[in-house]
Amino acid sequence: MGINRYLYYLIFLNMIINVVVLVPNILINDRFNGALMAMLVSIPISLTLIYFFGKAIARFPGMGLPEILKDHLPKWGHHSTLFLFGVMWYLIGLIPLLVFVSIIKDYINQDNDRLLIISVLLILLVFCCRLNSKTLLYGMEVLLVINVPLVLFLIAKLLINKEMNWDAILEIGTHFFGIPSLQSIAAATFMFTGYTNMVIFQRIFEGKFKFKHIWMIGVLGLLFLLTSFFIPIGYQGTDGVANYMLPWLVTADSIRIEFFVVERVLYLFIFVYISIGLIGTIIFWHIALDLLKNIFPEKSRDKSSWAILILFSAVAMTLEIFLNEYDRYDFTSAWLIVRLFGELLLVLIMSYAARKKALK
Amino acid sequence: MFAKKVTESKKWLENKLKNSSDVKNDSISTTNFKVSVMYISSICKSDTIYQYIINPAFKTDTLSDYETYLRSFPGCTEPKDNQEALDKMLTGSVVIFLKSKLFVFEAKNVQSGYVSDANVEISILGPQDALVEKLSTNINLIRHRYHSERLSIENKIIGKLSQTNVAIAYDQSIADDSVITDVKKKLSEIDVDILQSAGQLHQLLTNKKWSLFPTLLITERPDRIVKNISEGKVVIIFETSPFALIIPSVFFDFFSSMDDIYQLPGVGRFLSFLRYMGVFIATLLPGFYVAVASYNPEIFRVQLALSIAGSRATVPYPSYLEILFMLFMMEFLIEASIRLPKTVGSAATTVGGLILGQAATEAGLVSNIMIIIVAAVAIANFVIPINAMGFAIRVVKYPILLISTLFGLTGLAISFIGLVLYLANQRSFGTSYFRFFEIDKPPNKKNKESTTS
Amino acid sequence: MKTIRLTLILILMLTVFTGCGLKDIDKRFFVIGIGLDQPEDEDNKIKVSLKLAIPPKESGKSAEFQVLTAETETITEAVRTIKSKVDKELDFGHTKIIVLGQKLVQNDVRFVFDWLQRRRDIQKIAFITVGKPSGLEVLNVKPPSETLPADSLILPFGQGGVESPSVVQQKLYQFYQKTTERGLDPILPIVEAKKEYFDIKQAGVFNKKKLKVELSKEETKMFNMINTGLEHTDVKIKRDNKTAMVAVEKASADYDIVQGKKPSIQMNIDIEGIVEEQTSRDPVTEKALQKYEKAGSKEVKATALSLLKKLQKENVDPIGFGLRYRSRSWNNDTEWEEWQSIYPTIDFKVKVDFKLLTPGIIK
Repeated sequence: MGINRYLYYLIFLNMIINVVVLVPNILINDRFNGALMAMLVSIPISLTLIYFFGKAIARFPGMGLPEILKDHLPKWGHHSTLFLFGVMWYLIGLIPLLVFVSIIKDYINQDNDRLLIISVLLILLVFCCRLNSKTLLYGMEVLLVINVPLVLFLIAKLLINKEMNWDAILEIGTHFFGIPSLQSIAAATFMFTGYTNMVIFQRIFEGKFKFKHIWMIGVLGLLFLLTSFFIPIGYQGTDGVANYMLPWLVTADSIRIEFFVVERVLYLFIFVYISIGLIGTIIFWHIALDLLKNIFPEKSRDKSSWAILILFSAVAMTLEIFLNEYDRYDFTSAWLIVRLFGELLLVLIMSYAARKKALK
Repeated sequence: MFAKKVTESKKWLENKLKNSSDVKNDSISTTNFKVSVMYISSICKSDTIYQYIINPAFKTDTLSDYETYLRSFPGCTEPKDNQEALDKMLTGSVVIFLKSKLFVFEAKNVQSGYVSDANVEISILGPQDALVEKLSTNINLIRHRYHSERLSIENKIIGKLSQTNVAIAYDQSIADDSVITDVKKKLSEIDVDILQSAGQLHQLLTNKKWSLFPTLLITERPDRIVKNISEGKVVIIFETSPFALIIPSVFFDFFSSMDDIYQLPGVGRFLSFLRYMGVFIATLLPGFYVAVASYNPEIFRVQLALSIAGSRATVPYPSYLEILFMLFMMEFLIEASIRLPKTVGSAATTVGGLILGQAATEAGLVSNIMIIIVAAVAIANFVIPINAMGFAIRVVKYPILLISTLFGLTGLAISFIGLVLYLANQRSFGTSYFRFFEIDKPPNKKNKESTTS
Repeated sequence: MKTIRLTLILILMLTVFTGCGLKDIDKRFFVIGIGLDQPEDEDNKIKVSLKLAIPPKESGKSAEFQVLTAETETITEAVRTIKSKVDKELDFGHTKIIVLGQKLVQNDVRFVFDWLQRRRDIQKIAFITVGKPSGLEVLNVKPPSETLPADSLILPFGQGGVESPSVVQQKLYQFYQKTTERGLDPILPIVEAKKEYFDIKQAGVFNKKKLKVELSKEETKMFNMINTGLEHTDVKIKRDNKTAMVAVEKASADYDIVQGKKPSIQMNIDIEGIVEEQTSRDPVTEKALQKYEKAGSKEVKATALSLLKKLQKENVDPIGFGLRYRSRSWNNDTEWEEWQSIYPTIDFKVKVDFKLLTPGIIK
């Protein structure tokens, strides 16, 4: 458990929050059309990307993406890449945020206004994503240590319950041979993308971390994919599962803890996912902020970071007002596809920069 | 030839102990001969030195007479080598350099007579001594638990009017240099008239207007000080305060009691687990109660929900006022029993406990369940072993209660995340507050100088 | 400092907008049970009864409740009507039991589930039953032993209460799942309201829309044995005019669908038990034990076959043979149609392994 553990935390974080990035929804919609194949295909794709990324970034110990790009790309290319990735990281945090607002509105604060809920969350986000990178990692560690046992407890509880219908799962298993859609491949690869957060966090590791045990990431990712895909099917049935806006929430509400103060697992689930998901959003926006503010000249960075954060909040609120739940789904699945190509681009740029550095 | 060896030994010893301000190096010149003595003043009895070493020197005529005189003491021996001399010195012996010989003369000063028992940080199985309000005694207590030449003690005077004597103690070979220089720099920058307590110095060192959580550990236990020194930390000891500051300290240090080490490991783990449970209850329970009772009663089991609803039926105001009322009453009670003289204190708690426990529920002002919750919060708070942290936790439940009252469970979740990140953002002399594992420590310069002559 | 001031201002600003969400626990009326019935008036479509719990003022007092009823066209309107009759906010967060009237389930009940499933505040783990003679009457029963409203209606379903072998436990989400799943049909327990107690021993099988067939007590037990396995049940064995009761400690079943020219369902039932009572005065020797085993397995086989045939005749499938068939077949496009043509004529082959471990304390 060296300093490397923070890398695995970041990867693990993405695997857990897949539920609130609507990954299971997209896969479940494709359950009869090659969702399983998409999951299988996503593993080699992701692991190859991780391998090349790890190789490239090892050449820049202690450097973040802005510094790397500054040295190896022309100014226009450097700025436009930063902008592109900044927006991407902003959106990766925005989607869970929007999902949280509707979960909170539906299950916790039924009488509060959506805008009020999102502004409360935004206050937390805006203050927290300006914090130091190291602080965020330490905070994330504590939150994960508290919450991951609960996540594992929930999954175990769901898996050993007699009401889970294994025939339904096997039936989906017989739909294994199908041509996967791009959408489901993009959704499945999201599981593995925690490593890209290294573009900023690499700075505080000072080159002391290594990408080791890549196969383990693959195994872990596959396990999480299978659980987050199959458990709702086992509970809600092969046909019924698609009738829910958020199948995982109904599934969490399908079991109860008989011998505990809190009977409904649903609230435990919501609490756990809000704390893990919000720290995820904070980390993603922290990266987005860092990438975007590096476009501006050194002197005006403090001011511009506030401006960026206000813009972040304004966009989040606007989307919250104008998107209904179906729009949000479409938006997410489109974004996941864009993200897959973005990831590809990131790895290409990194490898290009690494190559250039090696030649120098 | 021997004379040369003696001078060499003296130089070697001086070099070894150069960072300690309590090392005395005196020479005694009588009309007939010259003798020099070297000892650590904080652990030697000056009476003994004066009476049996210095005074006789003036009464004997020749050096050989003096040597014979010294040899007649059972506690006076000739060390085999320099290392033995050093070890003896560290346990309270005086090294006497004659012309061609050197002796060690035991003049140990064990201070236990007027050292009081610890009464703020109580340990069941550990040593019972506590620091006192005298610097030399405190240094003595530490030296007696840390017999190593690597322990260096440096003196400083702080406070324009109070001129408080302050000592910085650390282990030269494992303490972090950057922390030492940082502490020294900060101490010399302090501009204050009167310095009287460790807590005050804590504020002057951290220099934050609104800080809530202690980032330096204040302790009265010499055994804790010694343990921390052996882990490479820097300790500041005072002339006028029975408390010491440990620098740097992380969040988890505030939840460790010395008993964790003295108890068997299984018991120790359980005890520290209890404390973290206590923190969760003390900080989150009031907020959780309000959020659940006023926003999401469906979280409880139906049986519990109905009995809470039943017991609240006569309460005329919302749950957050009810809990605030009771919490403040509890705080008054605690404050009263701390500040009042001991004889009156117990009377205050009896009266208060009686009124709060019985009458308030019977009058229908608060529900029965609320009494249980407030009592649980208060007791859970007392589990925290370090006082400063206990006070911080006492305060921090109020903001969480406020946010939970406004936004229900969402507020609770948000304030919890906020609290965790706030704590993660604290730094104690460059060390992150949430440092979990040993591995994150700054690289030690272990065993920097272990070579002997 | 600056950030702290800013946070305080923001929180104060938000305080102005909140406050409407705060509603104390004692200002809410918890709806413990919902009863849904066929209305008496022709114009209306549904009769909704809500069982409201009145929290005990003093600890130790027994449960009080109130049942309010309204008839309207939709459930939402009925709830609105009831809301105007009470002084507190209705809270569905603790709805533990939903009772469908016997008459209501004779027709298509899917519209009811639309409301139940769409409402986010109704627990998806609420138990759902059919009520005889009506949902309202089931809700109105007040057993004297009850400490909390509707406790005696909830506990038989949940773990922690009596575990009766003839109670089929179904949660709201399960019913909804089975109304959509191809090859798995919904089944509900039937609760009969008596004067001061409930009788839960039957079950009703639905064909996705309405109640199709009612199972007797023995059939319900058999269904439970096949579906989930049972741990505490008993079997009555009749042999040469003598009757013996066997306490079953473990009963489980598994089945396979054998495809081919003449497809069949091969079912193995394993039962382990001990003799609990017999009318014969002869000692239960080893030989007698074996005879009982033989008679017992015959008995169980007969019940199982009659249950399976009954279900087949009505073309309902609460055990999930269809889903099993689908899950084992790789021709995903045609499997469902295939099954629909196979099921009405499929053969059942039941093998019972009945094991008596001991005659009890005496021989």
